Amino acid sequence: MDELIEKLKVEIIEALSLEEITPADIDANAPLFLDGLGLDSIDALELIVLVEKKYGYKIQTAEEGKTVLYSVKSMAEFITNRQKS
Amino acid sequence: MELYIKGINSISPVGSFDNIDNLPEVKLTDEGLKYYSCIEPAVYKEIINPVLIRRMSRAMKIGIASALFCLKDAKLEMPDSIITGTGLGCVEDSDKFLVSLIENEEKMLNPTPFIQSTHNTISSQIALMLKCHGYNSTYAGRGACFETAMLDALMLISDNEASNVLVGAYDELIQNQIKILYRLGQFRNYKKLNNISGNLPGEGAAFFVLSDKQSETDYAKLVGMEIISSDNYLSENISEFLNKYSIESKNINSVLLGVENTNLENSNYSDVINLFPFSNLLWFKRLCGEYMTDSAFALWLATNILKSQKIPENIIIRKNNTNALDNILIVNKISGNQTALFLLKK
Amino acid sequence: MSKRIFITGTGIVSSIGNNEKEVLESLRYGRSGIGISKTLQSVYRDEIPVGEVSLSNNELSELAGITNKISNSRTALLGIIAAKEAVTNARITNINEFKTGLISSTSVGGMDRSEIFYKDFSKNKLKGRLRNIATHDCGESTQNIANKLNLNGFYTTISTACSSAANAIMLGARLIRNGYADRIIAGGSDALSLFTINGFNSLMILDRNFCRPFDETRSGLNIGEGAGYVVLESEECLNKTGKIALAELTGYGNACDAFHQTASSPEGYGAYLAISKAFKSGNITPEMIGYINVHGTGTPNNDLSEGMALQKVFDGKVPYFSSTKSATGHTLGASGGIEAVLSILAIRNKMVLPSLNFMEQMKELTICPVKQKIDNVEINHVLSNSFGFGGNNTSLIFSKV
Repeated sequence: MDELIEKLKVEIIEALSLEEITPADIDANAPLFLDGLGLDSIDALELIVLVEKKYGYKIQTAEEGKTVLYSVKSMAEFITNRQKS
Repeated sequence: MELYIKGINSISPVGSFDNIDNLPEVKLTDEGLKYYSCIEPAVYKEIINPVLIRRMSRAMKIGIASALFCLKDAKLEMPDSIITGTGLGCVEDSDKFLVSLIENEEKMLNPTPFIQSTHNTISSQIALMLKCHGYNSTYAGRGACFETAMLDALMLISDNEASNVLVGAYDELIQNQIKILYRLGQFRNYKKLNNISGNLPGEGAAFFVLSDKQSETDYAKLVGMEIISSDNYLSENISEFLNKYSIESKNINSVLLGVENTNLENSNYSDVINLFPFSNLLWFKRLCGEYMTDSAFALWLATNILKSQKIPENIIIRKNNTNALDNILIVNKISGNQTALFLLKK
Repeated sequence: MSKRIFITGTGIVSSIGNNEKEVLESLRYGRSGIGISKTLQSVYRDEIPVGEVSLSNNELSELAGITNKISNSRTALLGIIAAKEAVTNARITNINEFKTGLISSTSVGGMDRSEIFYKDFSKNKLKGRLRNIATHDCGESTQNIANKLNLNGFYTTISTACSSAANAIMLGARLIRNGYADRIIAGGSDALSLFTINGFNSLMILDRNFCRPFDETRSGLNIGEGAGYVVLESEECLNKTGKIALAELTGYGNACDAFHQTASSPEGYGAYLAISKAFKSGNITPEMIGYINVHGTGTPNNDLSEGMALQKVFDGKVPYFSSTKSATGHTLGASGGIEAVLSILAIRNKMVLPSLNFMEQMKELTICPVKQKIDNVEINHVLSNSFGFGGNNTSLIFSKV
């Protein structure tokens, strides 16, 4: 899980061109949106594409996206749960 | 109605600034196919919020930075309206989305290039940054797009809907487009000439703050503008235009032409030139190349010439007039049968 | 008092009819034009319903009276058909008799052909038939329509996403009022393309079923295609020709939401401003409005934002309203033109148009759209809303003459 979290951080930085942020700056439990990294709804759509492209799991609706993309940790949990099932 | 130009900026192949005191010689990019490219500001972060920059394509950076520099130059925090013109909009984004939808067979497409390919992206981004809720519009494609943006601003001001309007234009060049333009044969004249030609793909952004209120720091006064939709009788149309503003062609100090090169007799401006035997004849395409909104660069250049009272040597085709530099007429053939005219005074 | 602007002609082609007569029939019977595409070469063809014009490009060319069938984009073909119909309906025989111009709008222009070009070009830069990329820019369809109308006057192209055509009509009126033209043909055209379908799909705002504007269960829009144009004339022009106007354009307003690149503010501030400006420009008060042709795309965000704005502007007393996008699909850059034509049809036929597929009121709102057409309603003023990406909001008011 920790490995996946670190991997995700790097992928998020790259996908969203967060040039001035390092993986260490991202708290895996903190919210990614609004107060957290200051990401917006367009970033959310980009992250949905990222999860599908890199891991093959499709987030079906915007509602589901909200829960899955809450934090790096919730993203990692979504991916791990899918990998198990 | 006369409009005062309060602030200007251009990001073009001759640099990114608001004056022409030290205009550098333009360097063409030559990778087999020659083209003009913008000299961009060294750092965008000083003018655009870094959080917003990360998603921006080059057209957005050029356009938005130019608009914000222009507002700064005019010392204006909030315009009443924002109007832009663009030939192909953020063409890098449309190209990216098109290629990606073909390569990925419509699956897992990143939404950002699609969103940014919308032609009014830049006018709305500027509004978003400034929180400007006023009138906002964008004209696009071949034909009079920047010119209509100017006309729109003029009407807003004369209808008392606005008193300060931010108007501008932007177009970026991308590799795929350069290849297509050359294949379409649009720049075949270039190869025939040994001397410098403006008949090459170009790009740039230029913005202006227009106002109905005169002040000492104004760059120039826009006395009149017109978009003529006819190839026939162009010189008659120009005479009529000058009549409307009570100025005779012999009193036009300088004419800034949209010619491709200095060979005037062989250009499609030859009959226009006969109208102005006593005027300086200038050309702007040697500095910026050709693109759908190059009229905006011409307007920036003319405005600057009037303010600085200096004509850069390398744009002079014929020096016929040594009188006070108090007016400039821009004549630029755009697409199809349209010609743009702008009359500026000191 | 500003100069009056009259509408003397209307022209339309959409998924619910290839001309005004057919469209009126469809509206009367509550027909929807949304379904599975016949022509679109998309992997989503069977999955994403669209509002497609039922004719092939060859058939459209024929209808447009074009013999050279090769180099026209579908956007241009649709535009030529609707603009010609508007000019014919306005009984204009010599288009250059008065100072006449064309303001046309589109969001993607000849993208349908660019896609064909890019299929070959993206693999090999020397490949791809050039005629398929020559119609890429938004101005090409405008120039093409101007040529086919034999227009010698001014023409220009507006592209402000989904509010484009409403802005074209507004600009047309302002050009006439400022004396730059006597007569303007204004509207918009947009053809279906893989580009827009995939674009909106990537934003996750396409409904896999029929769209349900203003419904609690709404989950997105259906993209449509088509074109709609009106002929605007000055009063002097009308007097000289002795024509009878179909309607009058009395109000217009454009404002920017300045909230988000694609989404509308939850309280609909930009929409509120645009509607208020339209009222002010025409000296019209909310209670004078008999029907609202809402933007009503069917996305959760738009309908909430627009609904909040309506409740505020009309102070809770919102008149009859419906989203005709439930029948035509969302025709993007053409929608303002198509809905202008529909608004005028509503006035002339004393008919409040229906909003299809509506079942359940939205929790956040106290208002519901009209489910079935209502006949014999004296509609004096119609408000037509068109809102686009970047918070570009435009409202028009059409009035009975």
